[in-house]
Amino acid sequence: MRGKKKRIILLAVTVAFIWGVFALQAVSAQEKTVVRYMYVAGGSYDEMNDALVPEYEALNPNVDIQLEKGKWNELARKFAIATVAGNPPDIITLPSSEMPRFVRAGLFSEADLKMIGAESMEELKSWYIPGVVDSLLMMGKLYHIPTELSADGLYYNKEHFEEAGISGPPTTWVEAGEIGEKLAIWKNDTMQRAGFWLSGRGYAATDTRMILTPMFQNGLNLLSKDGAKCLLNDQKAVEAIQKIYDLWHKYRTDQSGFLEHAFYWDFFTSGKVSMMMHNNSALRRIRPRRREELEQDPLPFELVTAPIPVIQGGKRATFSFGWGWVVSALSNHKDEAWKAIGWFSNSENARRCTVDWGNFVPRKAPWLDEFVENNPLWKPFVLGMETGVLDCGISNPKFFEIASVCTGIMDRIVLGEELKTILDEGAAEINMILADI
Amino acid sequence: MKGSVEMKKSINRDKALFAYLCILVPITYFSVFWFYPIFNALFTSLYRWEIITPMRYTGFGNYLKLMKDPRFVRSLYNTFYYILLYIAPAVSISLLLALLFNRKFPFRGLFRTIYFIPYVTSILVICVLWKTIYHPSFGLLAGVTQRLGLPSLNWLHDLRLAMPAIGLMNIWKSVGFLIILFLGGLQTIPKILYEAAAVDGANKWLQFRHITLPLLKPTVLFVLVISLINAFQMFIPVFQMTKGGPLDRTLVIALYTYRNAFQFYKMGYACSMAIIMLMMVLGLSFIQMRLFRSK
Repeated sequence: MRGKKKRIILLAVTVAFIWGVFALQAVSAQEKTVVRYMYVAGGSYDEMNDALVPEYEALNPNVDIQLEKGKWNELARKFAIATVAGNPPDIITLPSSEMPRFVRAGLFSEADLKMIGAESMEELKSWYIPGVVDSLLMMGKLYHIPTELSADGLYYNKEHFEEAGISGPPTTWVEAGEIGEKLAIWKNDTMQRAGFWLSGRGYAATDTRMILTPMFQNGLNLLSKDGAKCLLNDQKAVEAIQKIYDLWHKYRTDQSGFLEHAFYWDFFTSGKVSMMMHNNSALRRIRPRRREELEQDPLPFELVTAPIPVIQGGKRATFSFGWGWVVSALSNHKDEAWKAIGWFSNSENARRCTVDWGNFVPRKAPWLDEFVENNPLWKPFVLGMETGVLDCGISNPKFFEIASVCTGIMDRIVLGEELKTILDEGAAEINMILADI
Repeated sequence: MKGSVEMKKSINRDKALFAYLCILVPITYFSVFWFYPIFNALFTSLYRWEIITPMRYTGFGNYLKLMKDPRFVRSLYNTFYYILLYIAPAVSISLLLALLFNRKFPFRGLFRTIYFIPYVTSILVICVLWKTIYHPSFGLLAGVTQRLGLPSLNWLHDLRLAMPAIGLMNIWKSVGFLIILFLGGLQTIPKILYEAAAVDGANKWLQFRHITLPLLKPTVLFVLVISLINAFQMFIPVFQMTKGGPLDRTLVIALYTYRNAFQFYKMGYACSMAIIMLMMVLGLSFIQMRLFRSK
């Protein structure tokens, strides 16, 4: 009898305890604003969010940030599907190339400068190195705050240069071809060492960059200002892209052809490529913390960086891309979301992003000068960002369709078809895409 | 008497109810994960829908557009080209190996396992491996040709070689599985037939032609159907190794559908491609079934 009583009391206490825990949780959840934040999983972004989110929550006890992860190439799709289902995250990190179609569909909220902590757009612009915020604008409005930006630069193997008696990096595309030709090693008509690699092939956005970079340098964009016409077969474009064409067929600096983007670093570090063009994301691989993790120096030679070549007489322009924080237009917590982004992107956190986690945020600040001074490999990329045109600058919702045409164009360039024909047909195909909106 | 009939009816009813309950699970599964998506795709194919934009009814507009889309026509051509490249060698090589493995010889089990390993290895791993093998400057094949003093080939870069290169890799991967199917078929053939044929003086070739091949016909047809459907749906190797290039030479229907759906967000257009693909697979399977029925 007594045992039964004990069991009943024990059961009642357990039920009360469980109820109490749930009730407490419910009360605390009611008090907190839940902000859902979807970000690109892996490496530096995990490190960044693991550090920043708890700190922000500690500073703002009324906010509960719930993290959701996605693979870099699936994130936009996840966001699109969640939006259609009426349940998008409040904050999401997305690459700049994905922005236009979402902006055109009205799915992002315009940046709330006050919540970010800026009095005006001019003040916000002054936080970053010149030109950066301008390159982020779409149709004159700002929708994303950079989590990282990237511009192209040259990476070269100093030992290979010295062996070949070359004193310094090329400054023009013609020089790049001539130097690349000297550096390349052939045996039985098979390339043993590539002289100069452009950014890896097979990835539509990279192919687009390779075509656009000389076009920018020659004063053109891919599309006309009203976005209705493709300018690929403009005479100036043909002249510009000829420089890229010559690397394959006149100077034979590269035989990577259709090699996937992902292998570039391994081939470069193993000495099979003497010089390559790539964005600064590659520097993330050799940041000090990563070296400690690897317990080894991943570079068996002295790496040097330089600005990318330009067209002789053309303007210095590179093609940059980035990732940024955006806020869903359907979010019920836009203020909280922009406030959080404002804190994540403040100067001190931008420093940590750049120095600790390798996500380069070009804030205009003494720490950036110090960082670049201590890490001279970064200098060309900072210069690149100042003169860069962001890929979302194409600002067309059909960016990926257009980019897939650019891959076809690069394929044909590699195969050595007649350039004018390639560009005429490419322009016609892009014009068809533009007409189908 | 009446009671006994009633009882029988009741038992039959219970049995039927049990049977219906049993098939309810697969019917629900197929309805939710197969039939609903198919009907939904059919419905969506009649609309212009870019996921993040509202749906606009276009009737057969997407289908008409497909007929004029040179890339779709190219992907159709590539798919059939791949089917031709893949099926005949895959089936004949696996049949030959199955005949070999059906005999007794030392380490037979080990060899069977070795041939089966590629089939159970992740296709992504295989793609990375073969991509390295095919690399024109630093790959294994380039190394071999260099040692032989021959020029190396740009396997995945060359307009004519890219699809055969993909086909070769897929044959290598799938042969192990097809061998197992053929071995299953071979082991159902009674040995007594071979013994009788041997007594009658039939040599190995005649035994193969008049006993093995006719009795193996259902297995051959099954292997052909399976290979055909797999070939039609081939996606990961081209997605991983060539992204449809060079110059769309490896752009197959599955890849083009994926590209339109998940890169360009042209969901209605992609659904119309998926429906066309479904019709083709159904048509080819129907022909195969007719062949089965005739025997």
